[in-house]
Amino acid sequence: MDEETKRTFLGFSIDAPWLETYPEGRVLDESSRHITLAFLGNLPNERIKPFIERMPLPAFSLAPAGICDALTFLPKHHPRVAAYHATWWTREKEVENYHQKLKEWLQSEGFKVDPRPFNAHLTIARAPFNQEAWKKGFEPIPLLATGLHLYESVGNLAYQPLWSYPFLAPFEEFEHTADIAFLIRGVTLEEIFLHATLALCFHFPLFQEFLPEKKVESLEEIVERLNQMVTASDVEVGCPFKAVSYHGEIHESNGLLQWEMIVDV
Amino acid sequence: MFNLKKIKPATYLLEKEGDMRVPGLIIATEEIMQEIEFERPLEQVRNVAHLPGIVGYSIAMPDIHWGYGFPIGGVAGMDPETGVISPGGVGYDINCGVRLAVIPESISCIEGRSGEKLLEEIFKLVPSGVGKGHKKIRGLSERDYHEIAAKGARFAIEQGKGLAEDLEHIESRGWIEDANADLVSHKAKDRGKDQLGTIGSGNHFVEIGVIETLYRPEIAKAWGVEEGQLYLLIHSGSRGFGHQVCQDTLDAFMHKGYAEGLIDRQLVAAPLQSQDGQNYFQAMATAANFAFCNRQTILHEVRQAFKEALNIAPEKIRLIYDVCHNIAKFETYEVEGKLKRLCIHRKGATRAFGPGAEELNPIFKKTGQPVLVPGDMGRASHLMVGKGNPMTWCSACHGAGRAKSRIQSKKSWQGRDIFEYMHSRGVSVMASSGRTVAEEMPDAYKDVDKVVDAVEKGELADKVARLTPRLVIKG
Repeated sequence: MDEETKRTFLGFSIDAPWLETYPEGRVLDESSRHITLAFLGNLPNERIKPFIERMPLPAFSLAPAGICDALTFLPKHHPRVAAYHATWWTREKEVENYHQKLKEWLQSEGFKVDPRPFNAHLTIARAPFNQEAWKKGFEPIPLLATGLHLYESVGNLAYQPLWSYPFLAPFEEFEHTADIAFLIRGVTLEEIFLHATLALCFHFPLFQEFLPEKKVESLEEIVERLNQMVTASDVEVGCPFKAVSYHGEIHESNGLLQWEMIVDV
Repeated sequence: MFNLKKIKPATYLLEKEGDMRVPGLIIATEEIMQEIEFERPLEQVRNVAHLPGIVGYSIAMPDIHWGYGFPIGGVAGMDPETGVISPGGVGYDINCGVRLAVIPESISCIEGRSGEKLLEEIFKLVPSGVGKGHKKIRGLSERDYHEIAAKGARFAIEQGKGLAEDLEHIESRGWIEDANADLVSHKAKDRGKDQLGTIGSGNHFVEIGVIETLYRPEIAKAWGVEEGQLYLLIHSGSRGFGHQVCQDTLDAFMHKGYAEGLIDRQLVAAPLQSQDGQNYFQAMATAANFAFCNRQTILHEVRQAFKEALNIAPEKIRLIYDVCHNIAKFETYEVEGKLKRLCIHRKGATRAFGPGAEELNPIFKKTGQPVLVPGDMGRASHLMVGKGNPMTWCSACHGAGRAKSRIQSKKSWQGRDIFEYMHSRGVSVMASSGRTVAEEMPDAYKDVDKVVDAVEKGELADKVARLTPRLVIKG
């Protein structure tokens, strides 16, 4: 590669309760797993700083979160990539809007942009792989976009951030002697509920299958709804949680709602 | 900050202030109090002291830690006329408890391949971890639930899962009266229907090890416990069935406004005299009887595993005792010179009746009841004898108590082969989830030796034997 340029792209870094082992394939290191927003090609070094300074930033600060709900092989005809498809539970519209805005800006800056609609997917492995083995081993898992990055491809399936714009985590686990506890953040009560659900999915991915109606009107309803999910999952597949406790209040700070969720395990 | 006044060895008074109805009583040594985070659990001790009808003290055991409403390691006695019953004072895992059995064999019989074979056989017969249960588990019918409520551990024994004499070695003979399966929801019954005879996840386990040291040989002898003998320890509770009984009650109590005016809504409680209070007691007793039956079924399967793997006859595996450590029960005590029936909440605390207690079988009536104190899977557990201390409503600790959070423990063992580490310490571990094992590593717990020393100094129970683990199955 030309020493004066870097092969770059923009993407979201992703956190998820990754599997410990995957079927055969050239599996990307966890730290390199990402969702690509736009390829930039070879960017001259001197253009990187001004590019970052002018680049539009997302209108959201709280991380988009959702579920990797399907396995996909790309491209369709001669697949070289095994990837997870991402469905956002929160910030879906904002992510789409941001992607569109970014595309328009890149075009205005003279970059060649992919005309296809945004397909949020994260590459897990590259060929050669056995598609059947991958299909058999797939289970939906939650995901969290932890930040926006300008990445450099450094070869050998490794990508390193040249610049980062971290998002605020929608949930954070904190110390609790006997149980598990999380600080949950959200703009609305519905987001508090969804982020609480996703926090539990990070411990027990199957939990997402039991998500009932998303609309909630109070903290009591959130606790009850989460406990209904605990019950339903324990009946169907077993559940590592005993119950979500009636703990704490919802507080507002800087336009964000926050709740301390304690889960008896 | 709390002002604690030492009133006798390992016993501190948390004086009444504000609207506290009784003082707090903390059983602990200075060393224990310095080693752990004490502020939040002590605040919970103080909160419990505000509950209507509490008698004596709001009591904390040396393994106290932050819990739901009540601290874990909390005890409270309630007046049946003026007092309340609180699901938070029992816990989600109703009648979580421990049972200890002895096997008249020495360590040589479980060394090497024999031990592995036994571990594999138990793992096969006793479902553990997260899951519905086991293919061979027969789903419970409505009729089964009614029988479990009416019989407790005897339900399993009548189905050939145990020996008739086992009942004499279970707290309350494996059955709490007034259980009523009609007061338990379908959700709870659905949740529990495939879980009878399963360990579950978290800190539950089946453990086999060696009786290492005898502190009171005369009591050990009376109980048939010998140095060098193998032991079996089972820790489990009422599984999803009990969790749901607790949750259903909390939901109902919250909706009915029972939390209003309480210092902490997690203490939500209904008057013992009320229909709601009595309904909870009866549903809780049903879950407690399910738990007795669960541990009885697990013991039966482990006995089968010993037979399969080592050709040791089931009847040779003798149950020493089974204790509840998450329960509310009616017991009679002397209060202000008169005998009074109280509803004793023990959450993360074990009953520790001393000699002479009416309920006990003739052997234990002579010595005091066995008190089982599991420690951690690397160091030790203890067998103690109750002293019947009236200050704590005859209660003692229930374990070592956690020193590290789950997340902290998991982080500190990340990237290390925990199974190999345990093996190097002489303990073989089998588990459904490596993550559970990482959360349950020995250093996640306080040193149980220090905890039982505090129990002994506080005159709640005396040490009888120290048990060291060799084979462990975790969820």
